[in-house]
Amino acid sequence: MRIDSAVRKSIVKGISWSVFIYALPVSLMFLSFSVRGQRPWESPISAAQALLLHRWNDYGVSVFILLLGVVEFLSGLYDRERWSGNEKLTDIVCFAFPLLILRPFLTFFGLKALPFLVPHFRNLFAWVPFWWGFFIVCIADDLTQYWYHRLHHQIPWLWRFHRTHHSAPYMGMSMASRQNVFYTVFFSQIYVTSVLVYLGLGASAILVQTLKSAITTMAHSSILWDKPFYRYKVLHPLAWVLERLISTPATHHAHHAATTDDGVGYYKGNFGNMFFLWDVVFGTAHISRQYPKAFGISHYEGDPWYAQVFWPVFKSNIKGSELSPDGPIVKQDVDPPGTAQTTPQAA
Amino acid sequence: MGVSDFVLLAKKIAVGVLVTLIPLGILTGGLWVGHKALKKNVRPIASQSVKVSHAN
Repeated sequence: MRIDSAVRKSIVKGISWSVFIYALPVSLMFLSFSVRGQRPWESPISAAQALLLHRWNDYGVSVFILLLGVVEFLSGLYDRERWSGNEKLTDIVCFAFPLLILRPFLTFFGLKALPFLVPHFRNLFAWVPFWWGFFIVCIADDLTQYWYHRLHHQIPWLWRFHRTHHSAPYMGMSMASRQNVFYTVFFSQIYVTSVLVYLGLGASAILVQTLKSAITTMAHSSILWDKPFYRYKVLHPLAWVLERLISTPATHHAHHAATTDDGVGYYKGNFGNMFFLWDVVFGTAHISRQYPKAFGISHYEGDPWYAQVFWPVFKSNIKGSELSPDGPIVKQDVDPPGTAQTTPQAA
Repeated sequence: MGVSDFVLLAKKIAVGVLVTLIPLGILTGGLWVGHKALKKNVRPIASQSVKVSHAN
């Protein structure tokens, strides 16, 4: 299955522009140093802020996600019909995997592998001022995730590694980390950020990760916190900025819709994680200020959790599923009643 | 898991490596080059340093 030529052109054009965007914070920082005559590498750095941020990232984010889960549970999201045994197991295994396996592995990568591979580079850029570091890590981490995510939707043979995240027929904090393990382990942005931490941008990276966890969890949540921004006219200017800058439930729920191109659902775009701005810049944005009625994959067959989490090591036993041994790479959408045309889910 | 699955995984990892190395190259290269360039441009007063000798 080949990539559509228009999509390929759009990817090449977008990646070319991304080179400039990646270079932007570093260029602006040196321009500022040059104009103001600053030489931050000549002054010592403070570690007090880093310690405070570290504590918040360790405990604050976990408590925040837990509280959100309690609110969603109380509002009835996790009923037996929507959150069946198989879906529950898929979500729980995917939630636990990054905590139990990936985090120790990344710690090893940062504390053992990098010092062994590049011992002289430790804290090489620790002189970068905190807020410039924040700006650099924001772009480095989130733009990289945008491309990683977008490629898994637009390159057909990558789709099945990301399918698990879209198979959830509901939105909520429980499915925010629902991913195939190979998608999670090879997440490009975690290695980009780990290297930047090793190079000395740790304090800035902690703040970025905290902010990112909050924004992405809230964008996946069933709590529609952005609704008042669209309802009250006085808040519309703020809504205009907010929905273009960060991922909101309206824009990210559209990405998880079971249908596309119906004015609300749009899984062909809205790939941004923390920043929605990338979708605006690269022409993949769809803003409707509405929420889809149905989520997930239109042809979802309820593949067993082990196939969803560990594919292609374990395959689905459901015939015709994209995760089954002889299944299609990308299955055609099942059209809602009254529509004629079918579109591939991953396209 | 068959040969085709291993090939698919290898291709997937290759994409991940590329998506990692491109931004890292731009950012670390940019920081290194910018740092070097500004260090070269140091004003005379900033380049002076006091050497402390511990030799008896």
